[in-house]
Amino acid sequence: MAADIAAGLAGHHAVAPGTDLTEYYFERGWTDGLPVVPPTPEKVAAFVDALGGDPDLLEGKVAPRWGLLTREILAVNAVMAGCLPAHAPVLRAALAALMDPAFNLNGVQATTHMAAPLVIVNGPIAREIGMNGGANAFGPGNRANATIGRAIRLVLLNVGGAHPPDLDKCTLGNPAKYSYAVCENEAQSPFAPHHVEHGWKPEDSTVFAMAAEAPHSVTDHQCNDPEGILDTICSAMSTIASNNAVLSGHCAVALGLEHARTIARHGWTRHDIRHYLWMHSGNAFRLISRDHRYGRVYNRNLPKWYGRDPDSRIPIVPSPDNIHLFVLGGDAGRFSAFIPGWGHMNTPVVKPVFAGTAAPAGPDCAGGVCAI
Amino acid sequence: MLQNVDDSRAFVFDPRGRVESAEAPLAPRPGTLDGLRLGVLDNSKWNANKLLRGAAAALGAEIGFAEVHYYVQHSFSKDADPALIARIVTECDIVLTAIGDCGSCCSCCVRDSVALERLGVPAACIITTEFVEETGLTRAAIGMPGLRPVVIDHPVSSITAEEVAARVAQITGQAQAVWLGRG
Repeated sequence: MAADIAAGLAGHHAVAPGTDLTEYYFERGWTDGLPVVPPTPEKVAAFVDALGGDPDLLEGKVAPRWGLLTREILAVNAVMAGCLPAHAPVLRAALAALMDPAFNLNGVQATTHMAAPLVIVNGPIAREIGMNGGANAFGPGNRANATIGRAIRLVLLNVGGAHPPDLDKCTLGNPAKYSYAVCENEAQSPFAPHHVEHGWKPEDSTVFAMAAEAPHSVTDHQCNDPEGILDTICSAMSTIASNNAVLSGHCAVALGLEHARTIARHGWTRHDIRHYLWMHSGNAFRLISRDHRYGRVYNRNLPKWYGRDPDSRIPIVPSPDNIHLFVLGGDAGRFSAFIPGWGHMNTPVVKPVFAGTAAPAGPDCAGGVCAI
Repeated sequence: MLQNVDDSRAFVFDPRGRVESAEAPLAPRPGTLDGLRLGVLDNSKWNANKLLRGAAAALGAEIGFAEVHYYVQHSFSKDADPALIARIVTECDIVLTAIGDCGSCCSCCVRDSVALERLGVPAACIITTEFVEETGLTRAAIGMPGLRPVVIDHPVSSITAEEVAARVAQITGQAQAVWLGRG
């Protein structure tokens, strides 16, 4: 590994005719542990074409190895993951979001925490390439979701060098580190899409990326009003065990369709939901500080403006704007999910899928990138 | 068959991509530590402040520093703000930073130290035993394999005052060796 880094080996390797490529990639440690699709010159060339040609064009550098992600290298990993050329624009936008300095990929890759980059796609491209935001959205069975998420992981492993246990120091890992890409269920959602809430046009396609834990299930088969359902989600949010509880930052909520429809029937908006969740979740400082049982606690990782009295409320994230709300899932089932983030060390990033898409005017957008 | 290499294409694609990092030298080392300005960079990880204040006091008992400055890096899993690094470079001759006792904080501590070394300030970066391998790979990846870390016992974040004192004792000799380029 160290020798690989020092030598910066890359390119094409000579092999004997008849070599079994699936086993060859396993032997080199160039997989996520599953068999890869051997990247033939024809498939790689087709994917490079879908990225706009120019195989040597540099899309960015991938931390913490800082390997050069050229279009050809991106295509090689995408083909290995099973991606189709049609997936190229979403994959490229997702990786651009991860490589944005606000995302702090270096930290996300190296951390002992189980955070994995969560990618959620909005806009027409998700439908066009057949992504799934409906039933079993976070589960298996959809090629676009599965292979785009897997291609991201292969790039993080192969180009970013984040192989456990060397540069990826994750204590436990997380199944979402294999693949964690979905789209919002815009067609069935009773609310405007997430990207429209953030000022993009409905016809724009965007990729949202956040370092995240796996989804935590929120079961509520009883409540038939917004307050009741959202109180249940607040219960899932108000643990002292998540990074958000002690490190602030951002989090996401996947609001299931049945819950979303019930809430919408009462006239609530996304804004109302996020503010309710923020206002009614959190912990008393006495829980965060363990009543100072292990020494006086201030916790410099929480905002200065929080109170530190025993009963001071410590919000899960500093603002309702740090709760990212997506409507996801299938028609049946009164389930939602809370998705904790990594903490203040990661800022979620939204990128347009296609160059030339006008970013919303606002203080947090610059150069076509919105750090939210 | 796509699964096998046929006679006409006896090569495979390496998916890793090249690395372009020129190897940078360490900052010049001073002949003595007496009379120098020490910068202490606290990355705000749990117990980093106790560890660093203890280490600065112990070092101050052995060395006649001209000044000691204390800085706090408010996100232990991010690189320090370049403006903070620039300020430290103008105010200090050597730096002690901690603590690299997790994956991301270790990486960022090392990266901050490399940034300081590139600007001419010898930097002793305190990491724990669990992260020695990661530190080596990080230093290689960002082009300063010669930067030695100060290695203390893992863990740091959940230890008692007595255990902090024991870690401080591990720091003093190693930090001086790093600053002076000895050993």
